[in-house]
Amino acid sequence: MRLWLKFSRRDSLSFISHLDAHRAYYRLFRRAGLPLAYSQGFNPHPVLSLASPLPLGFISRADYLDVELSQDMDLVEISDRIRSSSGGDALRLLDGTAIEGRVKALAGMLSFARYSIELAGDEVRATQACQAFSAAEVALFTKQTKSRVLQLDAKELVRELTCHENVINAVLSLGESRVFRPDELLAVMADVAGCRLDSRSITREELYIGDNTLHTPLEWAKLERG
Amino acid sequence: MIPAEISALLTKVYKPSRYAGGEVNMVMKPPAPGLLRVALAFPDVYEVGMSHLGLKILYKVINEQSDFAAERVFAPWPDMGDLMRDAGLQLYGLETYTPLCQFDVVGFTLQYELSYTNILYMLDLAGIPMRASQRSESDPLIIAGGPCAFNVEPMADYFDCVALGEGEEVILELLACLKANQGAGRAEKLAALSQIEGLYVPSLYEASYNDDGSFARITGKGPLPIEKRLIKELGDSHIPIDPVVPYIDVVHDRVMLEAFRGCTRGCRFCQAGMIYRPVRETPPEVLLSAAQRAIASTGYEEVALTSLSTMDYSAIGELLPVLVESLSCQGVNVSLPSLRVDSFSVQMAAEVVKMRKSGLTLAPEAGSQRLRDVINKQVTAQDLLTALQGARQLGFKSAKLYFMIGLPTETYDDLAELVQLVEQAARILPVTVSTSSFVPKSHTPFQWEPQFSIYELEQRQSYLKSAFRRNRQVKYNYHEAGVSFFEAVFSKGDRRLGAVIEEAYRRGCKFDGWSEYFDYTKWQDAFMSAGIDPTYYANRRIPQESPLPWDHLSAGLDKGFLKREWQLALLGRPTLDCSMDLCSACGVCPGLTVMPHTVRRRQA
Ligand code: SF4
Repeated sequence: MRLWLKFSRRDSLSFISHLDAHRAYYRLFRRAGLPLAYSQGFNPHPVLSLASPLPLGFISRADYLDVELSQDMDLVEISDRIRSSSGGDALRLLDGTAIEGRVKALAGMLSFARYSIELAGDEVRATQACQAFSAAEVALFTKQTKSRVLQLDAKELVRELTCHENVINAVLSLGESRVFRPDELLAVMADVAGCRLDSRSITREELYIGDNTLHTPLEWAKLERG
Repeated sequence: MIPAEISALLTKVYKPSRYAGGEVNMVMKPPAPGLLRVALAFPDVYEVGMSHLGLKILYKVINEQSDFAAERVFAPWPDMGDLMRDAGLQLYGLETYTPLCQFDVVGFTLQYELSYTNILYMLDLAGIPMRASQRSESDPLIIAGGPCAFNVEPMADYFDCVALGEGEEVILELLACLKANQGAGRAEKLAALSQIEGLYVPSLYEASYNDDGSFARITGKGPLPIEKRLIKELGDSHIPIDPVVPYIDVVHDRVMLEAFRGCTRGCRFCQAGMIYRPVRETPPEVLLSAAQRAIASTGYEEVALTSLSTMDYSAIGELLPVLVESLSCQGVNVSLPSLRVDSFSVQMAAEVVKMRKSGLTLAPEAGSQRLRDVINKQVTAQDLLTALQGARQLGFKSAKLYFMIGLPTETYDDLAELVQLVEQAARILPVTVSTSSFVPKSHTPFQWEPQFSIYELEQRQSYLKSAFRRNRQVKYNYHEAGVSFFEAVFSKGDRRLGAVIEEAYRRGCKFDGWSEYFDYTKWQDAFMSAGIDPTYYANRRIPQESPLPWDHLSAGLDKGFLKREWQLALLGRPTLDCSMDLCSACGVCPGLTVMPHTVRRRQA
């Protein structure tokens, strides 16, 4: 059976790589006695993938796992077992759903991510930087990918930008070759506003599917079921 | 929660998880009145320390007691060490982020001579005075244990107390004694500890030297000699079934089940084989049940059957298939870290690596039959070739072969035979040959032997290098001779070396076991400025009648046995394994009232 599970992850689990996070989840499932399905082929591996990598040091309230078990189980039972095997509260299961029918890999469907960025400076600076960015016509920046250097307009990659006290709330593109990270946003905003912006902490709050209307993966799955 | 001053550094360092704590199965005991707190300190980076079985065992036995708490601390990689210094952050335990200086006890693992500077580095980062004599009543007690404790003399100035032998019982006795003496002063506590069997309080003793500079004797107020401790029977309580599971890849990232302790094959260069006698096996049903519980508590994908020579486990033939079967349905592999050079081992290995037939590692140790007789490695060239042939049939694609060069009496004839043997092996399977240089160790029949000079070792390495150059089936690696040289210096050192270690640390030496940090010149300079000649320790033959700086630190071995073994070595005569054959009267069993303990009689 296939599942989409939503976890939160913080503390020590914020400081590990994408690969290490996968291993942490494999081991969680084995402790919980939940049988992962294995891929076919010469080098079989568990069918489990984290929908979107979490940059080192970020807190996540939206770690989505797209995972397949080798047998059908009750969802409540699954979540009970996961909760009692998580080992502390740095990793917590928040929600989840079974996925039926032909659905693409979640990783390939994501379009946007919502972040909250707590700034180390004062509120005034945060507000000014948001206003300056919103007022700007374009906000060009260069991004180095594995193969080439891209020249992009940050304005096109930001769907929402608000500010409350010293916390910036931003919905940023996650689309293929258009991934915009919150630390990149801060750099661009600092550039536009002509001030320094340092973050105290960055939290990924949610991931979305869709271009016009955004849905969280679990909302999307519910709509899909009809 | 990770304190803000720590997490502020974590985004700036390589592999921050090393310093974050919070792993699965971590035991967190907040400070409470009456709670005695121990920091288990491993003087190397997290990934190495987290692979160490001894640390897992001590962590378990201490934390099982309600009055005691154990935390872990590892040597911060220099990137983190520098940032901590700049930020004024002191070295802390990973469980509660408490600074080390607030613990009651800090206990170092002494696994490798070249980690000594890291001990000073860690004390320094913790703001604890390095020398025992400089510590005040409020400083933690700095203790140590592990194989290098058997010649801890070069580090004697830095430790308040050292435990000899297996630590799980004596650590609890030590803590209970501290608890009973809680109001007492430091000196009083140390005097009380010195009365516990297996504990050595270096400050109670003094070393003296002859006019020619040679070691004369140790005298002191404590008991002499200090005898090692050992566990007479291994059972369930000695297996850490819920070890801390790291989030990052560590060197040995798996469940470790100790199939047995001790090895009496009797290789004459091997310190572990000498100091951990006799053989004591864990019953197979204990291993099987522990494997299941450990997987349920850790979620690991691999279980290793560990020991100094796992294939010698007397019930391996029955245990292994059952273990493999019982774990495979959960997607868990079994691994065997040490193989014997024979076809039986290869078959067993094939059984457990069904899914990933990568490579096979075998250690014939010496290239010629003559030299293998000298070191009592009872393996023939034919054994090796047959094992490799079997391996090829079973689908192995390559093999790694380990040899030691510079063994006592080695000549170029022996090296020529080594080359020949490797060439024969390479006709069966492609091989990677690794050589390390022989390091004479205390408490072995070769403790009186000199090490070849660095120059001579390097000559022998280049001889092999050029011999293998044209053979495309052979890859050749070797350990840096300068590293082996300092290993020899410290494994046969005395108290006078303490000053050199501090000098080397002041000059910037740390992580000396890592080739990117080992700095031969800095070490040379440190010896120069201390006015000590390191070759005196590494390259001199010690007369057998001379007292040795480690004579008072007893592994239970009779010195007569070691001398006898040395003579047999020169004659190339074998000594049989007492877990399969007759007792060779090493002295351990009568001295410590213990017996070899195997599930059934081992077969030669
Ligand atoms: S005393 Fe005899 S039986 Fe015991 S370890 Fe030594 S050689 Fe083996």
